[in-house]
Amino acid sequence: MGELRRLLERMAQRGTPSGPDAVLAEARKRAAVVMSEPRRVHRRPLLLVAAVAAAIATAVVGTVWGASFANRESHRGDVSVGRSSTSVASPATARPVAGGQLRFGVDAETPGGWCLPEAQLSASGIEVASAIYDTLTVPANDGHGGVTYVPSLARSVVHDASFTRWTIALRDGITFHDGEALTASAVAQNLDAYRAGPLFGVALADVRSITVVDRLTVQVATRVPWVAFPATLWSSGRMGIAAPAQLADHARCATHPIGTGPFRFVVWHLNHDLIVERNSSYWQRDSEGRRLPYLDRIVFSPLTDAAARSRALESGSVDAVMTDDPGETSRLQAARAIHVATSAIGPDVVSIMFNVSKAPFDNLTARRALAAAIDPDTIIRVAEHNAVTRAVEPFPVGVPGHVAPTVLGIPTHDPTRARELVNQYERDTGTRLAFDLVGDNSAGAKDVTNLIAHQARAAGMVVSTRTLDPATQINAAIGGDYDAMLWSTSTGSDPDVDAIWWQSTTSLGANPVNFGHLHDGELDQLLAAGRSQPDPPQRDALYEAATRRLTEQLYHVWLWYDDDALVTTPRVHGTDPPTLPDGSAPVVVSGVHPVVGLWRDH
Amino acid sequence: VALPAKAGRRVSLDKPREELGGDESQLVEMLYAGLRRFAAVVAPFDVEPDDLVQEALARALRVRPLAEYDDLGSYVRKAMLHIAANERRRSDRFSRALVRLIRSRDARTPEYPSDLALLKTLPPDVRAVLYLAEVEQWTFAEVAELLGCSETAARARASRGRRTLRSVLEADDG
Repeated sequence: MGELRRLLERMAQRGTPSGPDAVLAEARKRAAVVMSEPRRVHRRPLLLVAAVAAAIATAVVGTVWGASFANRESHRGDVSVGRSSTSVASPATARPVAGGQLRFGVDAETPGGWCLPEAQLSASGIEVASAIYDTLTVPANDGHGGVTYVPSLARSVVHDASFTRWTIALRDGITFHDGEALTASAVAQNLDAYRAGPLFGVALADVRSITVVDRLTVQVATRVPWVAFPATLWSSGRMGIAAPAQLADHARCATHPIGTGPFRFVVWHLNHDLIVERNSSYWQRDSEGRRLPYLDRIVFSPLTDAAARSRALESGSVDAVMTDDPGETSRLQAARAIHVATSAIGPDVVSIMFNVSKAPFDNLTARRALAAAIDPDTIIRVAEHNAVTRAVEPFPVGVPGHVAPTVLGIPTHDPTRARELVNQYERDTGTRLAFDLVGDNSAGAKDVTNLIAHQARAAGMVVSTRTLDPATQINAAIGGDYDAMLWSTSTGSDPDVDAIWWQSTTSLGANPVNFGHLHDGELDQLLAAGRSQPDPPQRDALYEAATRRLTEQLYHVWLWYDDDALVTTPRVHGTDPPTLPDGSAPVVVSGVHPVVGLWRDH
Repeated sequence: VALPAKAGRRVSLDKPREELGGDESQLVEMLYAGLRRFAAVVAPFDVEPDDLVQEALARALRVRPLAEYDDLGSYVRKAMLHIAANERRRSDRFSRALVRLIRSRDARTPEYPSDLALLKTLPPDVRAVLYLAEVEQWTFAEVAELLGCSETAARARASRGRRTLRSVLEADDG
């Protein structure tokens, strides 16, 4: 037999036959689904450049706009890896009761589905995904008010002396919902899919290669020492591990998720509900040895209007909701019959982001002028009802890179100084200080945009405002088609993961998620050095220097921190997640509330 | 045209429909091995051959009961080829979009060494012709009928494939 024939023969024998009966049975199911319920099967759209860019922005990135208003859809970013301790106002838990159904109102549908390497997930999408998929690592309380990342699906994640080779050993005996075993090959296929996808291609640019060592061991080689790589393996719960069969089935990857998670996918009706049921062979147990999860079934329903979501909760038509509306959260928190769980650290930060690649904000005087003209406290009082925490820097307390505000030299609201700076800019450049301010088209964002414009005009600036739908706004940010933009960035995480928002390049070239279009060599060096610095104090120092650089250069005017809360009726318990598989204490980070430990009274 | 009986082809000639009694399971059982091998050759490498067979059978089922096809094997093979070709086009478009966006695709290509890598570079229809001609040893006229193309086109595809694979063939000759 010639070489060509031999190769073709080998090719013809690849894969694992499941037999004619199984193939026919599955074919009948597929044929029946499409014929009887055509709206249930959603093909992934063709991703053109703009769509890919938007996908990167929404899925890898921070939020277009993370503020908190009624009737606002969430557009959270995904590659945030939070660092937080919980601030959970959940009831004292009795012994968990198994069984029952939970009706869960989420704040947005995920129309693109759950093919994670390509999915554009809002916080709601991540919540649904966390029911179906597990991640290799998860955040845990480090015992010092911060967070560390511990193995979950992985049994261990260890690095070599140079931090350029990470060895991921998997737990044995875990199976996907379709019965396939979790193996190193499956994980390698997932990591490859993430690397190849538009969403994580940028975030994983420093991954050099992925190698299957043996049945349960994967090795990841990186281009540079990557100290915080385990944080990236969690990525706000975004980097779930899907069954190879799901990844291979391009037609159904988005609509038929198959993970190893506590719940298995049952059915999805777009804009109506997505139902998952208990994975009876789930691998995790609680601290008393009971098999998780407790609930039989969860019905996720998208309820995009915050007020309607709250009414549904209060009327009992749903048992739990997610909300990033601080006013609504406060109101519900005040109601005795409602329990609210939040992540104390790990929210997004809302800011005015400058496009520093062109006039007028390529000029530091112009940025200083706007910073002096803006009164964030007034904006927070008027638009946010004082329900959010003022931000003066990107990283909140407890996250490496946070600097004591007293030593930061924060710009203060000073209308007189603002006028002086406007005059100075106009003298220096011979042009008026005029700019357009872009925000998303939600009612709340419009309010804030108008307030900022009003304050800037009072200082003598010429301001036009534009409101865009989120996808268009993201494209405007990527393309640099704006002067200043109301923006939300995921920063409540390890700065290693969040550095990507400010780096001018990645190992693959231009960084499309450098939304401010920064080309700051000093900042690039600090962020790159932070990635590879293993000594914690020195690492902190590097990221603190990066924060000071961001502040000095005024690439953003920081406004406030934002969060997603899980709000439940009193019949629901377990918002404090159960002990982690390695025995570590869990922590709620970046508004990602695990559903594995939820249970309800009968 | 009475073609020689080969795995998964011309079932209606091998075994008349009446004899099968409309039993789809029996029909698929007879065709399965050949269809699966064909699927393994034409499917993208990250797609399980069975999945491609399933999808093609599902398409066939949406049209009419399987037992009502005159030549189910041929229909399913053509369907698999169309699906594989569409998937390849989709994947190429996606890659081009990424290249424009992120500049380099090299760093994201999988690094699993394989002597089948060269075959992967061929379009599915070329792989299909080469497989049917080289391994199943069909004539180009038969291949053309089965895949719904002209004999000239089938020969051209095989020629193109062999040219691309010359390095392998030369190694074989050496």
